[in-house]
Amino acid sequence: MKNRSLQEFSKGILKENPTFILVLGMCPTLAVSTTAENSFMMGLAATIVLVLSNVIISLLRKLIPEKVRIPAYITVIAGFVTIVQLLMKAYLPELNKALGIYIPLIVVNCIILARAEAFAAKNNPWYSLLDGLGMGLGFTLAITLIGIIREFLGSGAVFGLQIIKNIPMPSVFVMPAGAFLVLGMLMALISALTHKKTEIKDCSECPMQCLPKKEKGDN
Amino acid sequence: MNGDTFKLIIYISFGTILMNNFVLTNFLGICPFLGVSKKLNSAVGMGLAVIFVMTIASIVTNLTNRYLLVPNGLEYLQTLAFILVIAGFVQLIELFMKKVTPPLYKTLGIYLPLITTNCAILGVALLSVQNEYNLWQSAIYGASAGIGFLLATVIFAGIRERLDLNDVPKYFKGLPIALITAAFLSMAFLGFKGIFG
Amino acid sequence: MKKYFIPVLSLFLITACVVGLLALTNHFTMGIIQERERCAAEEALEIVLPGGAPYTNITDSIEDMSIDIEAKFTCANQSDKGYVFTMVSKGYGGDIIVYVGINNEGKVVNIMLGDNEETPNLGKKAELPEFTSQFSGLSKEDEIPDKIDYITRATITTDAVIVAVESALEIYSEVTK
Repeated sequence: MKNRSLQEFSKGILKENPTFILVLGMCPTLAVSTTAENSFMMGLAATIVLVLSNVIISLLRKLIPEKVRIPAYITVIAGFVTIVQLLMKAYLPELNKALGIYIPLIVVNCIILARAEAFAAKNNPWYSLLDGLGMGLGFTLAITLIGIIREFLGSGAVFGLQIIKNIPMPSVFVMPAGAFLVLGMLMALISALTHKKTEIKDCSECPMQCLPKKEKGDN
Repeated sequence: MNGDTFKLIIYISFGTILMNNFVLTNFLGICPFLGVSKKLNSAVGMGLAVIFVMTIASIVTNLTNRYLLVPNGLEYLQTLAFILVIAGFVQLIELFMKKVTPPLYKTLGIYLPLITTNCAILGVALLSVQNEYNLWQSAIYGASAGIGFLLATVIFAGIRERLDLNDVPKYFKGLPIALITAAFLSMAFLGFKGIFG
Repeated sequence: MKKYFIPVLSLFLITACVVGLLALTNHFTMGIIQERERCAAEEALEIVLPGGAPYTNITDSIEDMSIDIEAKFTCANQSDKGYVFTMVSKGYGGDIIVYVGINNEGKVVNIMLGDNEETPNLGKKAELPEFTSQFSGLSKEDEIPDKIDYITRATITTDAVIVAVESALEIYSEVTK
C-alpha cells in the first residue's frame, strides 16, 4: 500500500512532470512566470484546485453518467476555481491583480481536466489525492523554476530580493518572448538529460479533444 | 457609423491582432498553436475555426453576462456560466455543421472540439467583459483575437515547415526549437506596441 | 429521450450544488471585495497622508460634481489633515493606480503607485520613492512636467503619473472652492 502511495505521488514530480514531460498547461506556465513569486502562487492555486477536484470527482465517479462526465468535471473544477478566485480577491488582492485572468483560466488548464479524466475517474479518493498533489507539486516546481530564471535574468531579482543591482539586465526575459525562450531552452536541456525527444502532443492528452467521439447531445 | 465608432473598431482590431496578439503576447491558445502549426494546411483550418468560435463565444458570453448574470448580481458565476455556455453552443454548431454543411465541417468542424475549452476562448470572453465592451465591440474583439491567432499560427507554420528541412541540433528537435522560434516571432510582434502612442 | 433523462438530471444536480456553494462563498466575500475594489488600503493612506486617519469617504459627493479631468478617479477620502484621492490613468501596460495625498494648503504631501502593469526595470521604477518623492510639495500653481525628472525610456509611465497628480490637484481645487 505504502509503495503504491509513494509511486502515485512522486510520478507527477519527475517521470510524468506535467510541464516538461506531458507538456500540459502551457498557457499559465508561460504567462505568469514573470516573477518567481507569481509562479509559485499560481502553482499553489492550481494545486489546490487540482487536489480538491480530483478528490471530489473520485468520490462521485460512480455517480456521474458517462455521457455527461466532461461537463460534470468542468462544472466541479469551475466551482473550485471560482471559490479560490473569490477568496483571493478578498484576502490576497495584490496577488489577484498580479495573476489576473489566469486564475479563472485554471479551469481550462489541461492538467486538471486531464488528471480528472485519466485518473480521478478511475481511482479511489486517496490515490486521486496523491495524484493531484504530485502533479500539482510537479507543476509548481516547474513553473517556479521558470519564474526564478526569468526573474533573475530579466531583472536581477529572485522572489523580490534584488541580487544584481546596478547592472541592467536584458528585460526580454520578463516579456513574452523570454517565456518562450526559457521554456524552449529548458525543454532542450531536459531532452538532453533524458535522451528522449520531446514530442508536441497535439493536445490529445487533454480529454476535451475527444469530445466528438463520445455522444453528448444534452446540454 | 460615425468617426468615433470607426476609430474604436480600428483600435480594437489592430490592437488585438498586432499589439496584444493573443498567442504571442497573451499566451492564450498556446496548445493548439504549438500542436497544429506543423503544417500550413492544418494551421489555416484551425485558424479559421478559431476565428469562428471566438466571435461566437464573445457574442454569446456578452449576452449571457449582460442579460442573465449582471441584472441578478451573479457576476461570480461568470467563469462557470461562460464555459458551459461556450461548450454548449459550439456543440450545437458542430452538430448543425455535420448535418447541414458537411464540406464545411470537414475543413473547420474537426478543429472545433480542440478549441472549445481552450484558454483562448474562455480568455476572450473574460477579457471582453473586463474591457467592458458592448455587443459589437465584443464581436469585433473576438474576431480580431481569432485573426491574430490565425496570423501567428500561419507565420509560425511557414517557418516550421522550412525548419524541419534543416539541420536542427539533436536535443532541440521538435518542441524546443519551436518554442525558440516562437520567441523570435513574439519579439517581432513587440515592435507593434506603441503604434497608437 | 429516456436515456437522456438521468444524465441530464445528474448534471443539473451537480451544477446546482456547485452554484449553491459558490453563492455561499460569494455571500461571505462580497463585502470585502467591494470595499477593496473601490478604495485605497490603510497602508497606502498612511503613506500618502501621514497621520491623516480617520477618514470619511466622500467619493459619491465628488462624483456628483462631475469634474472635468484627464485621469479617472475611483475614490476620495477626506480627513482633518487633507484629502487622499485614488486616481487611475493610462500607462504603458494599462491602467496605473496612483494614490495622491493633498494637505489643506493644496500641496501634495506624498503619492504612491498602486496596481499597474508597467515594465519591470523601466516604468515600474515609478513605484520607487526616488521618483514619487519628487511630487511632494507641488501644488496646482506648479508646472509639474517641468519639475519632474522623467524616467529614462519610460516617458509614457511618467506622463501617466503626472496626469494623475494634476487631476487630483484639480479635484482638490474644485472641492475646496
